[in-house]
Amino acid sequence: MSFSGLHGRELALKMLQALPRVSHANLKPNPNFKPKNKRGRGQHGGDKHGAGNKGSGQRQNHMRLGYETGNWPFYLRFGFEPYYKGHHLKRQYPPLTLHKLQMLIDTNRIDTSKPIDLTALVNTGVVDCIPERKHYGLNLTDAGANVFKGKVNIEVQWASEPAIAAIERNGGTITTTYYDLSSVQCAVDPVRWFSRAEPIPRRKLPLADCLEYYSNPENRGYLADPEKISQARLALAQKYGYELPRIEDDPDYEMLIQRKDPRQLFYGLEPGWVVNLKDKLIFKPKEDYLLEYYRG
Amino acid sequence: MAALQFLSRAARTVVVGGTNRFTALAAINLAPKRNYADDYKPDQSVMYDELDQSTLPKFETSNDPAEWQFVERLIPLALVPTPKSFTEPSPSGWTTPKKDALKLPYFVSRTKNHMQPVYYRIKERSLRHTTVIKNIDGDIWLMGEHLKDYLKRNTKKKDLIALKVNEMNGTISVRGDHVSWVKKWMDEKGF
Repeated sequence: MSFSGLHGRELALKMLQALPRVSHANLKPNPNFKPKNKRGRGQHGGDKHGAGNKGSGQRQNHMRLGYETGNWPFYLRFGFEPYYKGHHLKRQYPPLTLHKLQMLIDTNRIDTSKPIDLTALVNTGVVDCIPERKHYGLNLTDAGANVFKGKVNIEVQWASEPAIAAIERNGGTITTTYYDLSSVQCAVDPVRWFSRAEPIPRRKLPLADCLEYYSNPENRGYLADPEKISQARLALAQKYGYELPRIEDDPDYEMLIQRKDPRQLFYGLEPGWVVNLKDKLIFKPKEDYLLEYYRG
Repeated sequence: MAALQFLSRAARTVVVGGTNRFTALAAINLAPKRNYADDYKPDQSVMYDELDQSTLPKFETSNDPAEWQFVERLIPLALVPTPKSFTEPSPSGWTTPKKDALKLPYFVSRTKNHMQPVYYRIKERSLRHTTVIKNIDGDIWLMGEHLKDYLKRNTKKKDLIALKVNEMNGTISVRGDHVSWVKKWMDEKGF
């Protein structure tokens, strides 16, 4: 149907065909009609106002959460046990499922030909990591491990054992690294950091309660011995029953073995450097005390 | 206004014949809308031009492109990227819209993020659960019938599928959680 070249009655009929049917959804009040701003009061002015007859429906006093119509409520029957005491101070690792990671790869939001870190994941615009909410990075979980097909070199802050197995089964590599909050703040929005002319921070060393996690080769921790990690890779392959692909023969070997220094936040850039996005310049400190500080 | 909106939708459906809907996807800005220039305010009390340069820490300046490529890696994409093309469903279950879908009398276009516009809505103090399909063009009533048939055949609800067509807004809402079935149906049709 085309409206061009039509006039008068024919055009009107064609337009009528395309117009919506008259229904409650598109009826409009008469011109100059002003709806009353107040609901009716008095003997017959308001009656029930569409809220029904009697009870909580009419009075619209919905019961509060946990209220059991007069019983001693369940949530008050027992003593207070603070399971979640101090939860607002604990480190949080929001989950990133393998299914979502695969979706990012399929929809071309992430480049698997380069190492993937927190910045690459957050830059997709789909994954969130909010340092204001004590998010110390991302937790790679195993949901979708059976459909995961990507070959990646990924760096996350926490990972489950089946997730590690799913990554390594496809010939990829994974590292778990510790990020402190100011490093996360820089990593999730580097453009903002550079615009403030702040130097790239050095990553702090892990806290006492997670030092063991990041030194453990089973977690692919970044402080673990690389030889022990390669042994753990083989052990995991035997445990889960897959043949470990030889990454030494892989054409992307150079990419797959890329790792950051424990103090380094971004690939190819060192802590202490100041980036000028406008003039495309990098300023590197030369003072000894600065170099000593940033080298840790 | 709503009638005009509808008319434009109808005209687009009929005149364009769907070719534009399929290929033309709006350029969506991914970058944050914040103006970062506002963040950095130089200290007004310091006269930078009159500073004694010898008191400043020493630094060297680099404009090496080999180093700058690592900075470019950190800058987020400006636009939503075009997904890869798949003949079969991708490993994650995402499907490429099929050209055959244009031959149908109705059409469901993807969202700006290349996803199927199917949503699960919970309202009225979690008493009302609905599945909403948006971005529908063409004969929406026929689509409602086809979808209802499909859900009756596949879900356990049988004859209890309550489906509402909103022709003006181009949306269909179904009572209950049928998101995965609706998406499966859309995959079969090629939307």
